Amino acid sequence: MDILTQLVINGIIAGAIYTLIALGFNLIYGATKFFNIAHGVFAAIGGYTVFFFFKLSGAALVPSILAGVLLAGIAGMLSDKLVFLPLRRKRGSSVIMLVASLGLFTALQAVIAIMFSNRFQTLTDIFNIQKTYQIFSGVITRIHIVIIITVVSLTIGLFLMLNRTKFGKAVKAISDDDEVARIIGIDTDRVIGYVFFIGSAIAGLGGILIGFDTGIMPTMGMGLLLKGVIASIVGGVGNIYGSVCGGLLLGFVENFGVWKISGEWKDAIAFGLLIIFLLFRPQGVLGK
Amino acid sequence: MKIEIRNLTKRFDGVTAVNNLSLTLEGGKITGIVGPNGSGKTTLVNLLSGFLPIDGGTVILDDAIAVKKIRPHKIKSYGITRTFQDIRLFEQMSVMDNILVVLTERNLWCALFECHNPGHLQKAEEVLRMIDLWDKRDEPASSLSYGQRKLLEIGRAVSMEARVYLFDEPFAGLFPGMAGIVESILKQLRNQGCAVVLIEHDMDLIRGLTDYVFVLDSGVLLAEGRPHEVLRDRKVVEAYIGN
Amino acid sequence: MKKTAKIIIGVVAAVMVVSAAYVHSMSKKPVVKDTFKIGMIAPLTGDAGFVGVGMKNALLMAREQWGDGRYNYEFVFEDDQLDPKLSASAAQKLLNVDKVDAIVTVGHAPRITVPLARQHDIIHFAIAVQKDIPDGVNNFTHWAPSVKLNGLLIKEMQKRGIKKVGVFRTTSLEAWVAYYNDFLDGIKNTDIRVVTDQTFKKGEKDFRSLIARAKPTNPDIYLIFVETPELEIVAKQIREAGINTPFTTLEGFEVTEQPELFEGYWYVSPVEPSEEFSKAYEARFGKRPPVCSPNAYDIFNLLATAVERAGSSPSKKPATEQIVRELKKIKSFPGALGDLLVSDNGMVMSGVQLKMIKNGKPVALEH
Repeated sequence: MDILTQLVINGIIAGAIYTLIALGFNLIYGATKFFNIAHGVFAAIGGYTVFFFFKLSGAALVPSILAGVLLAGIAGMLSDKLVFLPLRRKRGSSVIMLVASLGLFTALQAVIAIMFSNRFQTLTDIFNIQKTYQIFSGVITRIHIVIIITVVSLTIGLFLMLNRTKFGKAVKAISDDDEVARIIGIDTDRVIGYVFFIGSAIAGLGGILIGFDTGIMPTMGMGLLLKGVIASIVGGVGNIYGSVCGGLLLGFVENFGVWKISGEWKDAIAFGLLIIFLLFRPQGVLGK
Repeated sequence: MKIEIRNLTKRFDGVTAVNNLSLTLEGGKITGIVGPNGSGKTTLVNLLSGFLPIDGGTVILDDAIAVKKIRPHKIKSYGITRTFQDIRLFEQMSVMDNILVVLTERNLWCALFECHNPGHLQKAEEVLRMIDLWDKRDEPASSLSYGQRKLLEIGRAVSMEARVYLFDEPFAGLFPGMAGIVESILKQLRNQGCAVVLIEHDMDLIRGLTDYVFVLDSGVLLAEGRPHEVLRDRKVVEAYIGN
Repeated sequence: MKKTAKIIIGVVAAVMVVSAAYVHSMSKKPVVKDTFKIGMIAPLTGDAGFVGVGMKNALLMAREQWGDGRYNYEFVFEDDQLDPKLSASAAQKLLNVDKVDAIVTVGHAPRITVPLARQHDIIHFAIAVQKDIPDGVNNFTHWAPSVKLNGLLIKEMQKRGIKKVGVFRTTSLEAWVAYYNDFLDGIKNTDIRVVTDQTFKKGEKDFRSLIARAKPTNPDIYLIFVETPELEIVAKQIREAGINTPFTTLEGFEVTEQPELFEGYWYVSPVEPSEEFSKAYEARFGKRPPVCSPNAYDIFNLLATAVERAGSSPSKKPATEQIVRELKKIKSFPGALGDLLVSDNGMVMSGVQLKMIKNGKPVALEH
């Protein structure tokens, strides 16, 4: 195994996982202009839904995954309707929204922990070793191929949705100027509700895929969210394509970073990258 | 189309910006609203377009629907649209999309999966040719010049096919050529039977273009009538000079 | 005869009066036993709650079995939920409010209690592996010593001809760092070498690039120093990278929920608690004794033995210094964890065991 090839593959895998979280985060940020910390917990909701149906209740895989994605989406939409929409109506500042989302995150995470305990769980029956494939001189597992294909299709799907559909134009309009969007007849509250659904459902799918790769914990959301946020900022916050750029850049920097220095530095490398971008290119690789 | 405003009131922290105002905007006419700065002209537009909540009074549409609360995204269904003194476009979108975005149906499934039909594209082309921006249709809105942006905003309002147009200083800062386009658009809308409301400081434009004028001062109606008569009114002249 | 009868009656009466008076005086003035107070700081709730509950049960069981001794033994149990902040406040409460004579700790509490034990001159017994915790003055530990665990690990490596060791370990937990340092000390004069040492933080889930770095060094065995779930994730990702090298560890494999990953691999852990202890515990509490409970059981017995040997009068418990002197005299003691020896530097030396996962279950191997 050529170490360089393997590092490139590892960078792409890690980047794809970060992108998965950043995509939904950026979509929601674009429409609402606040850092939705609660976004991370929807990944855990997706993962635990599959855990409940597939592993505990013995349901079939595909319906369990659909349920997980759907439930994460619905939970996201409800979080908007019950918490963020009332705050927007009261013209709550983005700091108030951020604090509210942090509160929501903590509360939902606690609920998951109460229901399923704080323990680490796997989605598969045993820690089954994934089937692996050889790419040049590196290896990649089946679930990683699934993750990469998912990310590529989601990105293309979101691109088409935002640019080719009327719904996408409404989302972009809201992202640009939500007041004007309203006077041209866009029901911004409803559209933002759907944006929350789509974004949170993507996070839920991310949680499920990560669950099949390593496993799930109620606290998995914060770590994922932080990496997703770094990917968003590095790529260009609010920018869907920025999520991909930022996610990949973060994945590469982390994996090539630990090539020469030890593994405990991984988070330090990630946040170092964030600080460099905040100082020298706050608009991110792609800008807004 | 007709909008009747009865006893409309808006207060900001103790200052009454619009005070018990009653007036009627009629279709087939260009109605000028004039008054010194702070007289409540833009506040009136903001109230009618739902940007500000109404504190008191009623807006009656077509002698039929009485509204006490206007939600911004509802004004399209009332047939009302507006432009802004400080131009507000969708900067991220192309010139074409700034028009197309208003031509959408809001049914979710249609919105998610349907692309624009030929009718929409034809309408957008028509509007863009009218404001002379067809050649720039694929450029981002943010790249346009000031005047082009102003025209695009007016074009966006026109493509909404409303029946009441509230134009907040559409001529401000325009070169004569572009001002001519705006003027012809306003006249065209009037001829279609729409109620066109024009907030304007330039009294020559008011005289030349409007059919009826309301003069506001400190949120109350100071005078109304045909432009030539009203603008000679002593009260009106004093209000301007005294300000 | 009449006179004799009178004398007999008189003597009997006198005896009865005297004995009645004696009995009366005895019941009126019993011996006042002094109370030796033992505090415990351990998680009683939360994920690790089973550890503290097991320790509490073992202490109570040990006291019941001890029966009526020279002194009374009283417990104060504090729940720290494995949170250092709570450990600290629990230690302060035990010392300043309950005024305990000894404290038993586990988790983060040992490190916090060490200086406090010195300051208040009490005995602190920690279930901990760190070498710098016991001092033989106030602080003692009862856990299979890292040096002994590593000794057996290294001996087995030599026996199996293992020369190149690849290490994956976390630096987030003191115990693993301590184990690793002792391992390095242990291999100094052998031909065993660490060919790759990959370190990571607790909570890391993606080891793929560390594995890519380790792979070209081709170790004979991977030594993994981290607990579940990172243990299983590292093992799984090593296998997914197409590496079939065996794994080993200290303690780790028996608590895994994925024994399939470690099937057929040997490792070293502290000895199993004695059958006698396990059976008694199971009979009393209805389940197998959890980790740390035999240690707590032994700690009570060692303490009580030393206290009773040191004490001169039941009405006055001995001073810490006297108890410690007696504690360190214990060189062979039948404990739940085998034959125990208290070293002069305050470590209770218990046994270690070579084990292997066979059919998903830990099995003891001869060594």
